Parts: sequence; C-alpha cells; structure tokens
Amino acid sequence: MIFNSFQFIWLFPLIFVAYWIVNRLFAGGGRQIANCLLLIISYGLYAQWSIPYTGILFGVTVITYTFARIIEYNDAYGQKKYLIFSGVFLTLLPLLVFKYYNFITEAGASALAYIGIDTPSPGLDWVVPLGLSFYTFQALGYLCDVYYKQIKAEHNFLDYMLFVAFFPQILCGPISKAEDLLPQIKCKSKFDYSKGVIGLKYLLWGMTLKVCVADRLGIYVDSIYSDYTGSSSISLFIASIAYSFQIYSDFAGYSFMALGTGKLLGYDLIINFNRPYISTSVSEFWKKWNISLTKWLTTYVYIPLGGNRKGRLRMYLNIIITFLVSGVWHGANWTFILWGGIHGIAQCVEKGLGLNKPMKNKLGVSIKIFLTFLIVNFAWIYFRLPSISEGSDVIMKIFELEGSTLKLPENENMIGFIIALGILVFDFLSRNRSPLPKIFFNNNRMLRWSSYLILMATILIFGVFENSAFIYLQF
Amino acid sequence: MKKFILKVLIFLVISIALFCGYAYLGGILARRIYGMPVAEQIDISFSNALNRNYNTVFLGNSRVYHGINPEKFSDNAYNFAHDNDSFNQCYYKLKYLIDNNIKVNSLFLGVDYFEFGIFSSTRNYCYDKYFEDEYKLDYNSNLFKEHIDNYQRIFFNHQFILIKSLLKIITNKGRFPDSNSYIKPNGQYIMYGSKGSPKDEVTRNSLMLPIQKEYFKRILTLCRNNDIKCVLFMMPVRDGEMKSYTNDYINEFSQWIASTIKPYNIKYYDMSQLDEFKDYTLYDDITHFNERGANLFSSYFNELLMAE
Repeated sequence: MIFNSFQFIWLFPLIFVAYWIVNRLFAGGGRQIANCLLLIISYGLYAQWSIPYTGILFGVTVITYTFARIIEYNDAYGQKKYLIFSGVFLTLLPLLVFKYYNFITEAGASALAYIGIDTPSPGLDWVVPLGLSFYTFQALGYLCDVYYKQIKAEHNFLDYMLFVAFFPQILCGPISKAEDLLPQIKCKSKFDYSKGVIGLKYLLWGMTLKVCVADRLGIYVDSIYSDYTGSSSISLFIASIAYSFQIYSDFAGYSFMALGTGKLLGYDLIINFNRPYISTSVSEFWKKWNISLTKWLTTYVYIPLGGNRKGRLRMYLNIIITFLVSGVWHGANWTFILWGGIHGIAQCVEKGLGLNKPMKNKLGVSIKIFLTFLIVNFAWIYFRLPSISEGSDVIMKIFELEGSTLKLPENENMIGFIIALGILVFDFLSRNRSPLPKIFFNNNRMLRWSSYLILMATILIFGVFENSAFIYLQF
Repeated sequence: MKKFILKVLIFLVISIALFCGYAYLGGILARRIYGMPVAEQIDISFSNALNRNYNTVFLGNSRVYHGINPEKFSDNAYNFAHDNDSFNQCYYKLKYLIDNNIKVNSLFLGVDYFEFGIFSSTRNYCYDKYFEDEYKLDYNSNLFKEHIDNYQRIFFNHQFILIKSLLKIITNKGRFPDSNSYIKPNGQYIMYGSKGSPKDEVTRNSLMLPIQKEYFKRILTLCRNNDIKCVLFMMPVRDGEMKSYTNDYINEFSQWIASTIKPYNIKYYDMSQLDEFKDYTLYDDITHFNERGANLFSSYFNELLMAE
C-alpha cells in the first residue's frame, strides 16, 4: 500500500479502528491478537501486489529466524562462524538473484569480451520484489545482532514475522533495528493521544513533501532530463537542483508517512531524515540522510571492517568500501556504484583535510553548506541517469555553459512548482529539532490548526496524485 | 481515543468543506471561461441523439466531434461523436440508438490512424448510465474500483480549476472570454480559447489493438444486420501528426481496412492528405478543426458525396 494512494486514504482508517478495537476488546491476550491482525494486514497488502513474491518475504523471515535460533544455541566459535556465513548467504540469495544476477552476468560477460572471450549472458526478466532490499537488510541486521550477542534470538515466530513485514516500513524503510522494534511488538499497546497527534502531523507533512514537492518537481526534472541533449546548461543545472529536492522530498516524505502511520498504531520508528541539505560536510549529510541505512552500514559493514581502529589509511579504505556497498544496495548499475564512490571519496578528503570539523564562523558555515550541497547535487546526477556516460554528459553540458534559454514548467505545473519552492523555503525557515515544521508545535491553537488546514488545502489543490510511485520503491 | 477521532473528524470536515467551496467557486468560474463540462456535454449529446430527427449519424473520436458540422450535409444528420471515443464506444453508441428505436439510414464512421490503439476509460463515468454492462466488462473493472476511480477523476478535475480560471482572467486583462465552448444541438462541439500554430506537433501510437479491430468488425456487422448503410471516412491529418506514423504502419493499416470492409461492400473516403486542409489557421490545435475549418471540411465532404 502506497501512502499517497487513494487506497491508503480509505483503508488505513479501517485498519486503525480495527487495530485499536481489537487491542481494547481483548484486554488480556489483546497484544497477540492485535499483532496477528497487523501481520495479516501486512502480508495481505504485500500479497495484493504479488502473491508469489510474498513467499520470498516469508522465506527470508524463516531463514533469519531459524539461523538466529541455531546460532543462539551454538557457542562453538567455528560453528557459529559457519552458521552466520550460511545464514547471511541464504538471506542475501533472493537479493542477489532478483537484483544483481543480470548485472553480475553482464559485467562478467563484458570483462570476458574485453579479453576476447565471447560468452552469452542470459538475463532474467523477473521483477525485483518490492521492498526486498529494505526487509532483507532489516532481517540481516537482526541475524548479525544475535550473532554478536547484542540481542537474544526471538522465539515467537509471529512476532518476528511482524518485525520483518510491518507494513508501514516494509516497502521503503526505515530499516529498524530489532532492539528497537521487537520490544514494541512484544509490549501491550495502549492508544496514546499525543503519539496519535504527532503521527498525524508526520502524515500531513510527509504527504505535503511527497505530493506537493517531490512529484511536482519530478514533472519538471523528467521533462529536462528526457531531452538533456536539447536543454541548455542553466536548465540542466536547475533540473539537477530540482532533482536533489525531489528525491529528498520523495524519500523523506515516505519516511515521515511511515513514521506517522507507525505512531498511529502505537509504534515508534526511527526518524530517517533531518533536513540533510543543511549539512556542513558530506559526513554530516549522511548523519541526516537515510539515517537508518547509515546506521546499518556503520554497524554491519564499516565497524566489522575495522572502522577507524586500524589506522588512517585503512579507515579511508573502509569508508570507501562502505559507500560502495551503499551504492550497490541502491541498485545494480555502475551509476549507483559511482555515486557511492563519490560520497566515500568526498568523506575521505574531508577527513584528510579536517574539513568535517565544526565551525563557528557563520559565513564559513554557509559556504560549507553550499559546497556540500554542490557535491551531493552533482552525485545525484549519476543516481538519476541510466548510465555513467549520460550522467557525465549532463555534467559536462552544465559546465560548457551552452545556451541561455531557461526552460520552465508550463501552465499549472508552474504554479505547482512555485508552491513546491514555497514549501521548501518554509521547511528551511522553520528549522527545528524535530523534522516537522516549528509551527506544528506553536502554543497558539488557532495558528497550529490554520497551518494544518493550509497544508491540507495545499495538498488537495496542488498535489500530484497520478502515476507517482516513490523513487525508493525501486530499491 | 474518542477525543482523537472527534478532532480528526472535525479537521477532515473543515478540509473537505473548504475544498468543496473551492471546487464550487472554480466550477462556476470555469464554466464561464472554458464552457460546458464534459459530463454535461455527454448528457446533452445522448439526450439530443434520442430527441432529434435525423437519417445519418456521425460517430468517431474528437476529430469528428469538433470537425463535422451536420448542418453542412444535404441529408439530415447528427454528430454523436465525442472526445476519446474509439470503436468500442462507437459500437455501443450505435447499439444505444438501435435499442432506443432510433432509425438511422446511414452511419458515417470516422477512422483514424491512432484510433485503433486507444482503449480509453476516461469517459466511463459518464457512459456508465447509457451503456449496458457488457461495455464495462471489457475494462475488467469492478464496481468498487470504478467508484473510487470516478471520485479520483472528479477530484483531479477540480484541483486546479479555480486557480487556472483566475489565471485565465488575469491573462485576459481581467475580462471573461467573449465566447464559451459549447455543444451545438446537432452534436458538434465548438471550442474556443485555442489556436492552431504551424509548429503544432503530437506523438501518436502506431498500434492496432485486437479489441478495437473486433469492435470495428462488430460495427460493420451491426450495420448490415440493421440495414444501415455504413460509410468510412478519415479526416485531414496535419503533418505534425503524420510524422508519428511510419510508412509500414500506414500500409498495414490501409490493407487491414481494405480487406476488412471488402465483404461488407463499404465505401471508404481517405481524406487525410487533402492539401486544402493543411492550413493551420483552420485548426484549434494539432488535431481539431476550428469552427471555420469544420464548416469548410463538412461542405467539402458533402460536395464529394453529392458528386458521387
């Protein structure tokens, strides 16, 4: 179920009411029954997309559950190592087959062709299961936590199934840690008014970002990038900036809606975004962008590789490897690998030159924010375009300063575009500890309600609701 | 929980009321600026199709809807075409007339290179009440989803309506347009507010869907079974559209039409490449004749028919 769909608008209130009625009716054993209901809903919504692929979700759940239980009972180090490798391999198998098989075979065939050996690379035309990367990493994180004895293996299979398949986060995250989400699944839920209100605020803000900003900017970005050869440098540069904000609003919008939906059902999911473009370094950017993935990569890739404990050079290497993994996680394409590489190298340079240290000078901070944004912005170009050569062409075209015609959105898209920019400026001006706008917490009730109504009206009038899947659904 | 649900309901009621107010105002303004809404055009079209006296009926897509003025024909005629119609809609419209005991002698069926590739559901929310259930079955739709889709469509139609209307007034120096688009009693649609340009272009699919081929044949059979003389015609197509179609596709299309109509002994007028109708000033856009273009073409077509 996609949050910006009409299905969500009519179905979620029913889920919400049913869930809390069940919780209330079965005061004693209500938790298990309510969890079963959530589990059925989560699997049902997934199966609505594809019944066969629900088997993969179940398979990953069974594998990680079983291996975690076996690892817990095996204290012998050698055996445990063998088990964790087998568990990780089997968990990753669907991801390798569905997402990377074509890429690996094609890359292999190209490498062999380079040395004069022609081999056919029979590709698979299977669709990648929705949310595969997200739920695989979540389950893998749990397995590793059990291996490192951070947590005990979960014994209740139904609770564990819900942990992997919890519907607000299965498609695009956030990737929850077992130590955060499993205890919430296990404890009895009671409706919390203030949590419900915050949940609605997250839903409203997430929806605004998605339908009024991301999808509106997306129309402009698509129109420029689909004809980048005929577009001027300035149009391409503006489109690249628009894409940076499109992908932010898209993914952050989804994450906020997931967070809001979770809160309405009594769950606290991780805050995945916190105004990442207001960062003075790429390292800081990654502390505010897809926070759950950054934490996952730090815990299960960077630290096991040695982190910063094995000398400076090894640290740089570990950073680059971690970000290459991040690139590969995003997609089976050299563009994503290059994108990850750029982020890794940028952080090594920052660390090497000491540029990631905090500054007090306001002008210096502003310059650093601007430069960080430029690096991230240019890296997104490779992320957006289908091949490295096309990404490089766009970047070259931007610097060639060719043509002076600025192509702007037309008709109602122009109005929507201006509204989207207005929302982004509003977001920037209302900086707050919370990722939500400051006005949502104003003591004046009239002001607060007016802001909700204005945003709701903006969504209804300026929102884009047609053909607008979330960008991160493809990952 | 009660307090929470109550507050959410209050919020939703206020939001919906505000949006309805916005849409209502927008609707009033839009009618003055853009003319009649689609649903009303279709209702009028169906109502007049039953109440007027005519011997010839024109069916087809928007090219026919805008571009055929039945007044210019010697025979009493009615234009029953509509935007986005393809052969499945044409078939059910003809069946609707037959089922309602409307006796027509001739059917002039507009064909288009891209018409076989269209399977539009955008007007189903209006056609629902006129066509039998068989029509809906083709769309594999269930009633619930249809309702949801209808509400979505109504919602999308109203989203920008007020703002667009206000902008139109601003760009028109604060004045409402002099004329509104409307449907004539003879079924022809007159559109205002848009002008053709020599740079007009459009990309079309070169595709013939099996379902539309099937409906095309069903129309011919329905005509034969009900003693209705069927005439096929293709209206002028501008160069900015013609370049969408490959020669191979045009040959395939022409051969298929020729072989299909042969057993039915049907006359086909291909007027797509008439030089006298290449002039962009005869058009509202890349596809549709304006009022002048429609009158000129309808007179030309009538003379052609009379000459034979």
